[in-house]
Amino acid sequence: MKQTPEQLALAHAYSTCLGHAEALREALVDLHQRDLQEIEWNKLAKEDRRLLDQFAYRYTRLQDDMGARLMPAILRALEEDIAAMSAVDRLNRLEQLGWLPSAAQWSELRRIRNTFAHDYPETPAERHAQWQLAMAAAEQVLTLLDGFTARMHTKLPG
Amino acid sequence: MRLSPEQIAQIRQSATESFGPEARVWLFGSRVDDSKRGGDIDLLVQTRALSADAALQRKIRMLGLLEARLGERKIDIVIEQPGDMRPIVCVAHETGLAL
Repeated sequence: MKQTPEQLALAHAYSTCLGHAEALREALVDLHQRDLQEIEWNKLAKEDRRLLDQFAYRYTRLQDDMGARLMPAILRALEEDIAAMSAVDRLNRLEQLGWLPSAAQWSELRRIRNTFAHDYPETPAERHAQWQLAMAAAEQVLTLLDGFTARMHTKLPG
Repeated sequence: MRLSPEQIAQIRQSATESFGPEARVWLFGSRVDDSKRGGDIDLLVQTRALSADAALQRKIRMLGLLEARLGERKIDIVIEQPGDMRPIVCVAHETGLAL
């Protein structure tokens, strides 16, 4: 059966997010194994910098693509008229429809992501705290994506 | 200063709820300049000594309260703890206004 433009856009956005999620999961496994200590933030080895870069890129890209592409694509595939909706309205609608457990949680995750992306902590303790919070937030983003996956199979087959 | 009395009250309230009643707030950056328009809201919050983790969590809490009260806009918060001599902290005190 031929897919609608909305279904194609959703499939593309979802596939992009899955790619980020896979690399993010790998980075998280390695970061947990590496277990960087506060003192080590003073001078990072090349391998650690690469791992942190992988995490930072995939974490921010996944969250951005989920918010800017996947969520609107889901709403369009559900035939919601999102043109007049603000970003907050879209989150609330996804919560109402059962796709997001909490619109407020997503907003909180976005604030953590923005702080992570824009702040440049100076001390090792601050850097460590920022990365720990971002890693916990990334786990939550991945859980939300898993929820979308489960729901897409039942609510948006095809 | 290009903030309304209502906005100032909301900022102070948000700082108190996030960092406690002893927190003090300065506005600095372009919003201090009456001749400019728009722009980010740059805030310095002076707190008691906090762990890095607690300071970060409270800062994100304050950003959430400000977003709910002032609407979605670009707000930057610099946390100043006792003994903090970073250049940005000095600039905020020299050029900013206590709210």
